[in-house]
Amino acid sequence: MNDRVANFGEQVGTLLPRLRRFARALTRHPQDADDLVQLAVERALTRSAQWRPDSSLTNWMLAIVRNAWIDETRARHRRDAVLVPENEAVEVGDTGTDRDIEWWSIRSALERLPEEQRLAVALVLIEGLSYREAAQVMEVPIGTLTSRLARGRLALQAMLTDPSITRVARKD
Amino acid sequence: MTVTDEELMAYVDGELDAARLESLRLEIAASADLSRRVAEQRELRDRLRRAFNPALDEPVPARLTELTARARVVELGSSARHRPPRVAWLSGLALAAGIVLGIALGPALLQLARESPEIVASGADVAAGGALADTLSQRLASEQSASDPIRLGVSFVAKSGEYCRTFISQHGDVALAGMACRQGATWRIDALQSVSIVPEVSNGYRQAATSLPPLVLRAAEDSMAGDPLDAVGEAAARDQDWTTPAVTR
Repeated sequence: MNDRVANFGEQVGTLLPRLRRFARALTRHPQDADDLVQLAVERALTRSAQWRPDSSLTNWMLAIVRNAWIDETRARHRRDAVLVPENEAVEVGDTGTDRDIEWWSIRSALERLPEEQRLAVALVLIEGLSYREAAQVMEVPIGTLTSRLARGRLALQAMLTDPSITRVARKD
Repeated sequence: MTVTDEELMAYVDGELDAARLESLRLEIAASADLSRRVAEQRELRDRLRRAFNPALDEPVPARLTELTARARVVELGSSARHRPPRVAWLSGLALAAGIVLGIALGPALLQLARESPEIVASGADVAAGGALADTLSQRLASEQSASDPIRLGVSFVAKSGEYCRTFISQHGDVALAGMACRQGATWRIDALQSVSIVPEVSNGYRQAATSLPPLVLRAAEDSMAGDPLDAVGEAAARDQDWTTPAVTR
């Protein structure tokens, strides 16, 4: 058993880069993403007995990150806290390199999606999960997942391909 | 016949069955409009991946790798020589401003803390009492074993100049983890948080509480002036009864 638990910590350790990428798609800032991953890993370590070794540890961890994020955003709404000044984005857009601007455009387009659509987009398009896996992580039927994914994609495309919309978003 | 957006997306995502995949492939090849829509879907996916993939190649902050490494080492059980270097989880931290320092206890833990002789009110502060105070004053991290009810983490000199130590004190199914700083003759508790213990399913053996919870880790990270004390520094500080060091090593 000790070996199993030891192995568990090690396996979670190898997933950290993946978890950070996923968390970045959900949160506004890389520091927030790392805070979220830390919270999720803490939870995972105390609940390691709930993970079935015949299932995907990656997807189990992604679900923990997702649940931790939902808990966190609800708590934030309750506290009504604004963590980051909205105008920071304008500075990045005005002074950044092309890569910064591309990052910011995508970041800000993602931010404008409803949470459920952002999760669907992140799990399928960024993390490369199948529809079935993404639906499991989100705890919804596949049909719900695909419709959220479709709406999220169309909204992102509208924001990212229309330069006037992008510009408006950048000055927001 | 029209092809829906969802079907095109399923095509791009590799989610169509073989029969539909083949027929749609032919339709797309024959239609400039469908080809363009497929290309747009692929472009969107590629842009998203290009934006987020760099996260995979960045070094993972030590505060995260230490969490999983510590789980591994502590669960393995015991011997101090297997511990990772304590400095590891402190290096390279980019701490966001405004880190919460404080005491987070659920109602059950609050009661436990109230009943436990280890946690005592000391004026406006909370201080260590009983066995916890004794352990903080006398024990060295290098001498302890995993079965000790109170285990010490790191010892360090805080920015305030005080000596501080992190600890985990186990009480059945729960444990209190915290950071205590030496103030005069008492150990003032600056951070305290509950840790749940993973119940063992197969043979009734209970795991020791493992890693420090985030609140305590951050309190320590935020307070620490330099590196944690090594075994020699810890012993020297103990031998001087944790009086504020004139010169830090």
